Amino acid sequence: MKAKTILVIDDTPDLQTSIIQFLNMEGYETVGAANGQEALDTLAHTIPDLVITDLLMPVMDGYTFIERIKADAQLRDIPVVVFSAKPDEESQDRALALGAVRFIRKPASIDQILDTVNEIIQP
Amino acid sequence: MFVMKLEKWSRLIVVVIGVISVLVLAGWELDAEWLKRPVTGTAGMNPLTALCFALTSLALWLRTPERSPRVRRTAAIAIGIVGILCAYRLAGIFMDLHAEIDEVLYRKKLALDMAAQRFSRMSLNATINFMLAGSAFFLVYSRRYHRIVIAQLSAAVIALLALFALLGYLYRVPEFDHSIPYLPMAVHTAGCFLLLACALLFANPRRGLMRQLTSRYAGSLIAKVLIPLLVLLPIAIGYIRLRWHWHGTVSVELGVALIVISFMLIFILLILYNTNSLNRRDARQKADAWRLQFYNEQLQAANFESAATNEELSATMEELATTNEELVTSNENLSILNDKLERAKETIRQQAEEIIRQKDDQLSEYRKNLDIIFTNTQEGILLLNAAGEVVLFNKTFDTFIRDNAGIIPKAGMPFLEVVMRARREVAHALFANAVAGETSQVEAHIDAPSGPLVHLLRYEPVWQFGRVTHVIIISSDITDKKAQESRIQQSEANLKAIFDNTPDAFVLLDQHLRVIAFNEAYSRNALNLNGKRIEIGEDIRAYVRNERISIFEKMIAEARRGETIQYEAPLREDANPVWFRIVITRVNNTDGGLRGYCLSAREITQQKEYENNLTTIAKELSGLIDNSNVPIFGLDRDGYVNEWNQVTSQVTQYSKQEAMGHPWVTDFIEPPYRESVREVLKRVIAGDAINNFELPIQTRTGERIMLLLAASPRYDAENRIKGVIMVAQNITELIDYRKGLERMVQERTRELNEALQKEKELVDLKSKFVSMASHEFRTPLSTISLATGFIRRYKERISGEEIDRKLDNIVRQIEHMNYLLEDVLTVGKTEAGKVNVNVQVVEVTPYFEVLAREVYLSSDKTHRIRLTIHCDRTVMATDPRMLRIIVVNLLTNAIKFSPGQPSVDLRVTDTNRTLRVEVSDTGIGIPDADRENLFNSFHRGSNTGAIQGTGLGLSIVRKTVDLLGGSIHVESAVNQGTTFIIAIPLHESKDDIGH
Repeated sequence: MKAKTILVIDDTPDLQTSIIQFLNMEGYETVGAANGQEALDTLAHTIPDLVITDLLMPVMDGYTFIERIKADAQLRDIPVVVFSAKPDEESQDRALALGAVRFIRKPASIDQILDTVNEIIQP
Repeated sequence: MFVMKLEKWSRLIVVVIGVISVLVLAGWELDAEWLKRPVTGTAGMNPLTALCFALTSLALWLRTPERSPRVRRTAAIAIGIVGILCAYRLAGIFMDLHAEIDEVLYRKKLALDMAAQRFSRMSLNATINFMLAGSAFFLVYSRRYHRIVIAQLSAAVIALLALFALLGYLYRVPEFDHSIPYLPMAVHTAGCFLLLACALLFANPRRGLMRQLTSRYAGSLIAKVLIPLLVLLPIAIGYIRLRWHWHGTVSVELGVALIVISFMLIFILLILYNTNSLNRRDARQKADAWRLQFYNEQLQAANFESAATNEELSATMEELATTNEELVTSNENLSILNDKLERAKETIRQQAEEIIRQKDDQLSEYRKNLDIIFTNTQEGILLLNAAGEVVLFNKTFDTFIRDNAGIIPKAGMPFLEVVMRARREVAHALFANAVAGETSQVEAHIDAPSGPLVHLLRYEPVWQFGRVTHVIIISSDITDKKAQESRIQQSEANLKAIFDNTPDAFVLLDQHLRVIAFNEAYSRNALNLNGKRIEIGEDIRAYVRNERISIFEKMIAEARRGETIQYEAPLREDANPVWFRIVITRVNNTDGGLRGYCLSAREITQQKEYENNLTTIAKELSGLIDNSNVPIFGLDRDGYVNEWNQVTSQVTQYSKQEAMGHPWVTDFIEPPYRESVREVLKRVIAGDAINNFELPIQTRTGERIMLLLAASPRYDAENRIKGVIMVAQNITELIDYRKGLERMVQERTRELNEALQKEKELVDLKSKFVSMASHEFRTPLSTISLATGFIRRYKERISGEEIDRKLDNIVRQIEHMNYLLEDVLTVGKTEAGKVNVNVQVVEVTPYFEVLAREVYLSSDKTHRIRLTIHCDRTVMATDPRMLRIIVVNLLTNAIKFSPGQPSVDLRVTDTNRTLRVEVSDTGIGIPDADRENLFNSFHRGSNTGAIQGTGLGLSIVRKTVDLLGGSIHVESAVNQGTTFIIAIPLHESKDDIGH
């Protein structure tokens, strides 16, 4: 069985690297992107099984990104998990309304992230 | 006839003048010298003069009273031309005109004459003569006497002037030798004027002065002889005297003496002639008159005589005829009269009988009436004979005696029997008196059974044949009248009691101001009026002091008209004057006519004292107001100033004289406030008192003062509102103080608002900090969390290096968080003003080198820091820690916002007292939209994108620069780079800084 691919979008290099490292350790294929635009570029040739995205990013923020893939028939079924430092309920509600399946608030432990990911897909 | 002759002479003379003037003009034309100047060497007649003579003679010839208006107009035009020519000539003489009018005709010939010293100009007296002749021409035919006189006087003047000129030639007067310009007149000119004068005088000889010469009275006859003599004789004598003089036979003095003597002789002879002729004439006249009268009287007498004789004759004839007729008629009448006499005798007898019968009837009627009166009168009548016996009595008497005395009176009884016993003595005495011829009257009080009665008894003697034959006693009942009288007396007494006891003094005067009555109070109070005691019947003015008579007369005059004047005067002027108010009123008759006057005087001394007290109080009050130390002023009901105290004058700078009587609102109040002030005044006049209204007033010098006014109504003695009194307070300074306070409050409010704003900004800052912290701290925390989790979870599966890298990552995140924290703390401190400047002396170059190195290392050596220092000083006094914060932040920013660029620049220069630090990069730049909030905490540029940051860096830089007293300036272009320039004041030593 082919390993599942996860697209990790975060503008903080250290954090993006950290997430990718432990996902790899758990047997997931990963693709990194620094913002929404980069992610969309990646999605042109790679269809991941799951997307983990930050919200506040330069060039294209997470909200716009979610809107864009939900508007694309080929991409709209990809489950999106939001991993954001935004502390308010409003941001969470907005992201979920746009079509995100989960909202993880930074800072979170590896277990929290993995439990969420594993709940949606298996490696 | 003679008069007709004169007029014809006048016309003849006019023709002669015309001929002469034409001849002279011809002489000029033909150069006939003897025509121009008949006497060689004298002045010639000017052609213009000749022309004027021609025109004048034409005019005079044309102008007679009988001519038609058209001819008269032509004559007037001719004279008008002469007048204009002469006026021009006069102007030439007096104003020295060059173009002389008299040189127009024959100019060249005139010039030749002048050159030959021959005078031919039109002289001044000729000109004047023409003008006189012109005026005389217009006046001479006038109907008014004085105009004609003027014309004839003008003619006389012309004649005199002409004679003067002729005499000049005759007597060879030297002045005529051109020595006086404009004077000489040609001989024939003078002659013509003399003729002209004669023509004018003869033109209307029956009127004006000429009448005196032309009448047929003696005076005129004498004058006609005397005037030519008086003209010619002196000329002749003068000439003879001069001839002697010229031949040297007689000296000047003898000549004059002879002239005087001969004049005397001539005058005396003339007067004698005159007297003689007058006397002769007079004597003849008188003799004629006498003779006339004598004849007259004789004639009259003769007339009378013949008339009388005639009348007598005719009268005698008539008488004879009449007597005859009468005789015949008398005979006839005599027989007729006899018949008539018989008839008349019979008639008279019948008439007499008739009259006697009528008289008898009248008498019996009269007796009957008398009897009725006698019987029915209310008065009792008793007739007695001289012996005292009752002769007759009437029914009233009878009834009275029966009822009251119980006696039945009868004729023939002694009258004392019908008299009540108690009154018999009196009755006897009265009867005796009556018999003696005296009439007497007595009131009898009778105790009648019906009550007391009063009767008036009158005893009257009846005379017959020179003695008293009877006595009549008439008794009338006056009981009621008596009672009424006593009532009237009582009421009079009451009135008198009131009149006398009233404290007011009264005097009643008749219409002639005589005292009719006065009361006790008057006699008491007015005792020493003018030093006299008041008497009834005296003229009241006798009691009035001289100095008050005019007032008194005036009061009387007013009273007569029905008016009343009250007059107050101290009537008793001793030590304590007693004041009286005197009123005089008119007293009318029942028909409304003037009966007299009532003068009343009331003592008002107390009232006067009260008034005086009031006046004193009022004066004091007025003084109080005037001297009060607050502005007080008053207005009357119409708003005119009637009170203005000294302080008001001081405050407004308008003196009392300037303010009094002026309308306050329009003269002292600024237009915008007038309406409201009028409103206030209206309310006060209506009775309200209005306190505390502020009113700005412009003083005389234009200064504006603020008054706080209290206005209250002012009352008069009858408690009516008579105006407004205002008490003011000058609150100009108070207002200024208040305004100062208001300004201060505004200042404080502003400060408070600023503090509130700052507070708000702080709250804002805190919320921004929370928001920033939640994001900026969560990201490194996430990294740390993930790193630790990673080590824990995979520590058996990963290498030691892997773990070290994760740990390094953790340390880096912690450091990052630490920086963030420090920034936040710095901002907090500077915002709260808790940072103290700590000046130290540092060496310039090593300080910046170390800083550049540190930043280079901490920023992962991505950018080279190019440091250039151009400083004159080697050391500087500043707070090195603060300067470090500024430079590190700017350098870090420059590196952070120029990703991929090789280097940033740090340039340090200095001026006299300033350190200048420039940090430049070639990075993304700052959009213009972000300039405004560039230095605000937590603000981040719109183009910063994924570049991490808290938004605190520049905020910290700005605040730190402010603390050092420096300035910050930024130059930037998007995608080209940014340069921050800092200027910080330096101190040579750290002691320079006071804190």
